[in-house]
Amino acid sequence: MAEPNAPDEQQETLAEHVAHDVFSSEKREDIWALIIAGAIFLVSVAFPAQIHAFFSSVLVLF
Amino acid sequence: MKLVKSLFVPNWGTYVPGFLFCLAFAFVGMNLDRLFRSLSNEGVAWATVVYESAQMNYVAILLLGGILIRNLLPLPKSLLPGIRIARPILKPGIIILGVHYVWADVIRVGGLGLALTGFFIFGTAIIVMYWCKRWGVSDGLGGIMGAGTGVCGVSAIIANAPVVKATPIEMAYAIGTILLFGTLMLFTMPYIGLSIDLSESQFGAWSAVAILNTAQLVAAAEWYGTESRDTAVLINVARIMFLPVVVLFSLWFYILRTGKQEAGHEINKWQLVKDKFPIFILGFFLLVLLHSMNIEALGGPSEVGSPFWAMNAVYTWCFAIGFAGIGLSINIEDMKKAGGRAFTIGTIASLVKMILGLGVVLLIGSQALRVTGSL
Repeated sequence: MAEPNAPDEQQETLAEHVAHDVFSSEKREDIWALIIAGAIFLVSVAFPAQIHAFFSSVLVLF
Repeated sequence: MKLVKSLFVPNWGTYVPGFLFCLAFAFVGMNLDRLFRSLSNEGVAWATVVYESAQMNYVAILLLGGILIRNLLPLPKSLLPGIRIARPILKPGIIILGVHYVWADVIRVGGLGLALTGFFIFGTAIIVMYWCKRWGVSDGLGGIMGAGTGVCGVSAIIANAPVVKATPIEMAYAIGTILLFGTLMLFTMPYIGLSIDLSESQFGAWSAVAILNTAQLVAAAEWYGTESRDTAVLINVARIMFLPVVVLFSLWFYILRTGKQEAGHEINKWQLVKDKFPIFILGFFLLVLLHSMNIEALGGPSEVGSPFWAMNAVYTWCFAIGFAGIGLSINIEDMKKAGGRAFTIGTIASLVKMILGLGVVLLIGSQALRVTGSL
């Protein structure tokens, strides 16, 4: 038989669990954002004209 | 190795179809933008109406198109996980925008933005939390509505929820309310700004104060113009830095002040600050620093052939993918969860913030809010 306080405790645990998962995912998003931006920076340093041409001309049909 | 593994979610393959769908949608949206723009420039009447009068640029196409697709067409459920991860692609776009700024901008516009956002964040959060308490709204719902309407929408709600012990139902109400406001403001504020001849930099400041989450305010500001976006992003960076501070304030307001902290469950405040700080903005500031140093090898966003010029061509595509994710994520059913007293309080607080914010940016004027990008 469930304890009278069990639903509240379960809800608190669920909120903490959701927050932990979301904030793990937020941190993960931030790290990926830094990795992606860093990769774009490195490729732009190595091949600036090609990067610009790809994103301004190749991907644009009109 | 464990660190590398932790960067990948389990079943990451389930995200691929939806993400590819967003890439394709972003490609279509950007090309429609170019088509409307080039036809408008050639004097084609319908294109001028669509592009100039109705402001149907890539932002509007992706947001409105995404909402229509999501709510009217039978989108396969297999696409939904990947659509969710497209939105955060805005973050690398924001980081890359750092090449547009120098420290003088950060100090001037950012400093002004910090004062504006400090006033509006704490003002809104305190007022919402106070009135929620007065009207008998639970601490949990009041705390997350205060954080959500004050700081940064959904992220602030999730950050604050465990501190104020919000229930999942309360979180759903608060998130539904914030999403509804954010969407309404996103689609109305640009037209309001145009009707009262608000300059781009003033609109940028206004959207950064009034719109509740990063993705939607970047969309509204980008929709209005590039100067508007530059100002909005800088002020938003100042705003989201306050997230850990508002969580600490909630901890004090609801727990420490009232003596509700449980013995043996002391909250590590420093760990709380570390966990909630949005680290991606460090990349933004690093690029601002590099641009400010005027390094010849890196150039600038206008210097043809330079790395920063190349990077400048990339960020719009990051934004396009992010806006595709936002549009396709807006489910009318989710917004129906908003309701009750918290909705009323949130509505009043957001409207007051919107009106006051407009008054303040009109007083400050356009020049002080302009990002110049030069030393």
